[in-house]
Amino acid sequence: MTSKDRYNFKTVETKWQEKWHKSKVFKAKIDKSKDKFYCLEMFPYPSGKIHMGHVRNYTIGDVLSRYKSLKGFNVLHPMGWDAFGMPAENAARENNLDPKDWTNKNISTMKEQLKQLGLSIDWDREISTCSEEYYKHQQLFFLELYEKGLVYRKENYVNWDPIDQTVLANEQVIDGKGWRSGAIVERKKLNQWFFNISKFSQDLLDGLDNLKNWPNKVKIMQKNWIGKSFGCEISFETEGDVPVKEIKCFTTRPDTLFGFSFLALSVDHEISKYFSNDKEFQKFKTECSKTGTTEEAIAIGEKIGFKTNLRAINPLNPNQKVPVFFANFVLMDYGFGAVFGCPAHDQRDFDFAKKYDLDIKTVVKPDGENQNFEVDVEAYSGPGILINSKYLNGLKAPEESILKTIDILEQKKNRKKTN
Amino acid sequence: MAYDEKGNVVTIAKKDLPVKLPENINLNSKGNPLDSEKEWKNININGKKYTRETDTLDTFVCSSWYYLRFCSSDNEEYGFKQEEIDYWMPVDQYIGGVEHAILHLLYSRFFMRALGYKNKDFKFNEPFKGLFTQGMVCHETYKDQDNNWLSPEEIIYSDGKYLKKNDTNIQINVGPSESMSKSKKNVIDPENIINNYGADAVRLFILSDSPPEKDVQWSEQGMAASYKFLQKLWGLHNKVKEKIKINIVSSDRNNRLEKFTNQMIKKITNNLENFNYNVIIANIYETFNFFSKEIDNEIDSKILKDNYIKILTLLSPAIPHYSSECLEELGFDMKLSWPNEDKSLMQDDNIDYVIQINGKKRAILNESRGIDQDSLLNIIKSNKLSDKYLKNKVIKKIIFVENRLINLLVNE
Repeated sequence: MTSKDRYNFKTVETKWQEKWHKSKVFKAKIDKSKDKFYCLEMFPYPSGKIHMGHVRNYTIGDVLSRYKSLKGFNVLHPMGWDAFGMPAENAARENNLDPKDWTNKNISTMKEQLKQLGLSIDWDREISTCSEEYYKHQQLFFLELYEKGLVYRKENYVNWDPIDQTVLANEQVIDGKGWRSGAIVERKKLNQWFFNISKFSQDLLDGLDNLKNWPNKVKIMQKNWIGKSFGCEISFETEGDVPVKEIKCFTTRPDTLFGFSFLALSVDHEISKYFSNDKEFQKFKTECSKTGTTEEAIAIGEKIGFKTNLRAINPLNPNQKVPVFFANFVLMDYGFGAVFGCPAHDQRDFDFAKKYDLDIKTVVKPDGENQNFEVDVEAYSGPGILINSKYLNGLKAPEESILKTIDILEQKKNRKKTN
Repeated sequence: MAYDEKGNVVTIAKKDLPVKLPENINLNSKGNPLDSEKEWKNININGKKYTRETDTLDTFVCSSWYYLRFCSSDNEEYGFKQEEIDYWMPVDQYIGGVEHAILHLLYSRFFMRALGYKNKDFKFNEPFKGLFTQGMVCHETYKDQDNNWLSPEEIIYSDGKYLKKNDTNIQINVGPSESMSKSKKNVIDPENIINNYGADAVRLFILSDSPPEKDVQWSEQGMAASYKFLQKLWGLHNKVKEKIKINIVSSDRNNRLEKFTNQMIKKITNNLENFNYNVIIANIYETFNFFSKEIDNEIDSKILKDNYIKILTLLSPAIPHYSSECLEELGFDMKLSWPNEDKSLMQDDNIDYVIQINGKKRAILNESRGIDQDSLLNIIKSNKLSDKYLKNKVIKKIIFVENRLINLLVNE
């Protein structure tokens, strides 16, 4: 091969990258006469230099974008920087730099590197999350979400590093010690901001079914996580002397439904309107207001209830009908202001059941115990195997049992809808 | 957000946003550095004293809505323009690592619902219509005798042994291939590789080795092979270019070339639609082999050029610089568009079948793809080779490999 015949990639690649840059061929504009295609790769953290994982990720996206564009789609293929993070703070602290300078320098290095790959990106749309242009909008979103009640403040236990005086994420606690200071981490209660994700947990679960172009394994991971962290809603049919057909409960442990022995409502639940003329109920309500509303106050305070004549039916076992109470430990801002009681596996429910002489049916046994295991002096809320739960018996709790129960409840609900 | 002197929450007025972070702050203070920034922290609203919230939003929040910002990245007034997200959203294809499969995706899905809550204009629930999770890039790991990690650059391979480059008395223990990470030093710097081999060769290699959803093993040999392949492809390009220049007008339409191109359009299109990107690279190799042989036959220049342009278009998503250069060299300056397969050519989609008699190749028949054993046998029987090889013989056994060959075992 003569040198003339050699493919000189350096000249060719530089030439085309400049051409693409100057002619802005990848600039995306709205064109309603064309179908759009929005191709997005997860944006990088500007840690310093690009790595091979980026090369692979962005090559895959680039192949797709270029193909769709040739197919006649109006393609949007942008890139930006996920630029806030602890590495900047740490690097700045170690090298006595300004975190802003460090981040911006990395961004410009990495941008040059990505350009060398010949990616078909509309760089006019580049964003950096640490720029004021970005985070000012985010602050506004936060206020809007706060106004809509989707952001709230709550006391919560955190990992506290007493030397660095800072909250640590679970991953930052190594063998019970702070990752940087090495100090023994304390449990501390702090007021923190939370997003009310659980408000949408059912919708977040249901929505997965419509995502046909997602890998199944990711959908399962999402389901597991949502089920474990946020639970699901269960509708209990009711019978009794007030015109209520159904009460919705929210629970993170649907798998303990066979241990169901009462249903408890907040005194502010909408059903309370049927009791507005009931003097006993009014007295009870006043009594309830004496208990604090923090989780701690509820946990240590005495559990008191007001029994109604309603009976709730177990959706997994329609022959089982249990009493419905108003109770001081149920607050309107949790779930729907209604919980189902499973005394064997929740200490609060256990205390309540002891007081009002309700059934305590064990449905989870710890690993290593036999089938006859029974909850005795306190509730068991740990992991184990389901027992006394008919077709759910033998499932691992909580990792298998929660989702299986959600599935079954879902099927029953759908069956009812179609009938 | 801020707190009054009793600790009650108040919101900062929207007109006073953004709350800017202070610059030049002391990062060596204890705890949250913002707590020590008294000038920033203590504020006055309408003559009353307040202190700012010093907890910052988790960085997860930033990545929960950035896909909306891209739709209208220069919009001053708000995070996005309704008209623009109505056109661009949802993301049709989202691509990233599976390590973000839980929280990032969940928070993004939540954020869309939160924005749409009590807001009729916001019609989206799901941000990502399609999701693809690619595998990791892996490399062997190396340790010296004292259990220290070594980087690939510090190693040489000689006489079947891995040795330390600057001290070849030290033998290296080769560990399993693992995802590239700084802590294990099994990292290859893309910048050097791109400088040495070029972006297209890197793209070719990173796509070729395994399906995009699986892990890929980085190997210097594989990388070098991709580079060499591009050089060979360029050699072929020069041949094709010359052949087009000679301007042959032939009455023979050379159906083989058109059919091959058409098949490639079908194959590569399907493979692109299904993320079989590694197979596309195999298709490119196949194309090279076909053209290398075909180029020595007489081909009508116009037909050659038309089909070659289609082929270059098919290559362009994977190796865009190379394809653009070749197309320019051919004087092609129109807007490139993806070629459609010609159904009429597909209808008589024929392939070559090897016909063996007692294990010896006796003929090649060009017959339709997917033909069954009996039909092929009938064709053979009706062919003149039957007179020569099968007359007065009994077929005892038939070995038939679909789309490949048929072997007739006959008595002598």
